[in-house]
Amino acid sequence: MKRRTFIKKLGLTTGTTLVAPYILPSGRLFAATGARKANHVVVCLFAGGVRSLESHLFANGSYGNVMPYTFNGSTEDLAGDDVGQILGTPSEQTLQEQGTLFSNVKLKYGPTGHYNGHATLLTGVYTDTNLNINSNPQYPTLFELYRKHNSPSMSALNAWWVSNSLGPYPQLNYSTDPSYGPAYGANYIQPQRFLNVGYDSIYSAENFAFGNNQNTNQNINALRGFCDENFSRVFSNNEGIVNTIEDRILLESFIQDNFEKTALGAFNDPWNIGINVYNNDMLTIFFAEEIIKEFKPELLVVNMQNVDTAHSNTTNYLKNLKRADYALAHLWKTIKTTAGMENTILIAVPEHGRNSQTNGRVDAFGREGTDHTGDSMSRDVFTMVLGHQTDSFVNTNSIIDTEKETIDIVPTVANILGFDNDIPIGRINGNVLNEAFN
Amino acid sequence: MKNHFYISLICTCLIVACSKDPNYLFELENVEINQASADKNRLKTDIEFVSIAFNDLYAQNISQGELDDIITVYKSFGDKSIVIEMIIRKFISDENSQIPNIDRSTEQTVKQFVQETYETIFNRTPNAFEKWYLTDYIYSHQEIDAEMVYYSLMTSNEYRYY
Repeated sequence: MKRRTFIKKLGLTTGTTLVAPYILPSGRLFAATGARKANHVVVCLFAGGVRSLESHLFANGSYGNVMPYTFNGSTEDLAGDDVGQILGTPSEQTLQEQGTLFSNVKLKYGPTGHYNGHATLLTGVYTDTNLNINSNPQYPTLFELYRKHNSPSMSALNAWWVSNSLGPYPQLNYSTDPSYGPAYGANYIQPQRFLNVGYDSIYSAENFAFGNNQNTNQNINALRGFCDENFSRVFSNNEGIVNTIEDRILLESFIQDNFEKTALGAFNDPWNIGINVYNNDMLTIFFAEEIIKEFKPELLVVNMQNVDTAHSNTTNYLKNLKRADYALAHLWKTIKTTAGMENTILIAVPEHGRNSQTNGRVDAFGREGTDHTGDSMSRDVFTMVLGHQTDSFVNTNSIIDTEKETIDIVPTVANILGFDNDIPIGRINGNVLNEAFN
Repeated sequence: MKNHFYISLICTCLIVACSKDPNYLFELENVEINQASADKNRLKTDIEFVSIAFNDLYAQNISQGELDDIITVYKSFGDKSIVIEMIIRKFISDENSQIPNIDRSTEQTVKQFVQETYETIFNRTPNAFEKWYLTDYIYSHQEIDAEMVYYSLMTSNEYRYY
């Protein structure tokens, strides 16, 4: 072999050897510096204020199980619970049997408000009374940490925040931290309002047909480009995240498809449980499932909040707990049956609990309401960790009762996706929920 | 003799000094003052953007109900640029929007379309270069229709400012 050929082949072989380990099964060229436990994480914020008594304490105690799909324990018939009768009980293992239940998790500091609880879960930093609900959070969110501390940075289509209501919640997809911000934010959607109101106000077939050919797009780009060149200011869309041109095409196609499904009534009873059973939590989870099926994101966070009727109607609270319980199990089932979502870990956690004392507001069935004003029980929540993997790292049928904190969710997700060591020291204060993993 | 000279000089001065001032009349030609693009430095709020876009395309104010719905949709999706473009496309593709057709009979009529479009959308007169370039581009690309021109201008950076 000629010397030059030999050197060339040696170089190619060496280069291939060096590069090969960084081409991951997921198609990514580079990984974050840490090893991954899974390639997808779905976080379900089982929010709205779920009291330990009605969730894991009842289920695993002797009071009857209100959440039969999530927790072990026998159910009992509740007066006025027509929803529970429809949703029934699971024929398969409970989620508790399939994963690890942390039964002693605290929102240790800060107000026990819904937005405070959400912000704490998504930033890994406790909030205080100065939290501005009219602004994005001060500290970088899980989405920004994920997108920034992976190399190369992750596409926005890989990070989703799906909320069941508007108000301050859309702001949780990125922070005001100048080192992070919208460039690293998540794609956000509040599906019910977007699809239902959007169908009436911004959808039309012509809308999506407009500019739908290359020649038209070239002309539009030429005309717009000329205008932009002759205007001194650049409009930076600093009020929202920006997707790449390729991702925008995928997103617009997804939006159009879902507008058309909305029009056809495809979302009226997507789980075949009866059109009147659904609440906003269930429909929000359903749409999160649609995103999972379409984009297979590496990180998706979805929340529920309808159990907050507990302030004045505890019977509805219990019924909505059953709906949320069913929805969480449905979400997990969808993850397990969606090709491309193998190697997923799901984490479910409420943002805060509810007071131990009732508030005196009695519903039609004689049940008293509960608020969440900062007593010790309003700081108690559970956390469930589930693994869908061939060689799952997640322990099954395990209960951990050592004290954990809601600020532990961010470092745990970072650890699962292998970028926890890339987050600058001091950014987050929680600990990885290591007991969930073997 | 000397006295006659001084008397004549004084009389001459008096005559000149007492002459009637001419009555000048200054007239101004009417000039329409339009904002230059460089002066636009205030970013429209979301509500302003939607309201102004509606007004520009329908020549009437948007109803409070329609505005509330569109702002709700705007808030419900993270990538604002996608929503904005969908809103503009919806307005433009609506048969009730008042977008004039391009009269392609002469280059002058196309120039007139450019002029009027700039006044409607950018609220200013195009400068000579803008007028020439866009007229030439539109005139030489037969496939360009008025909706495409309106959409291009309304999704440009300048339209985000006032």
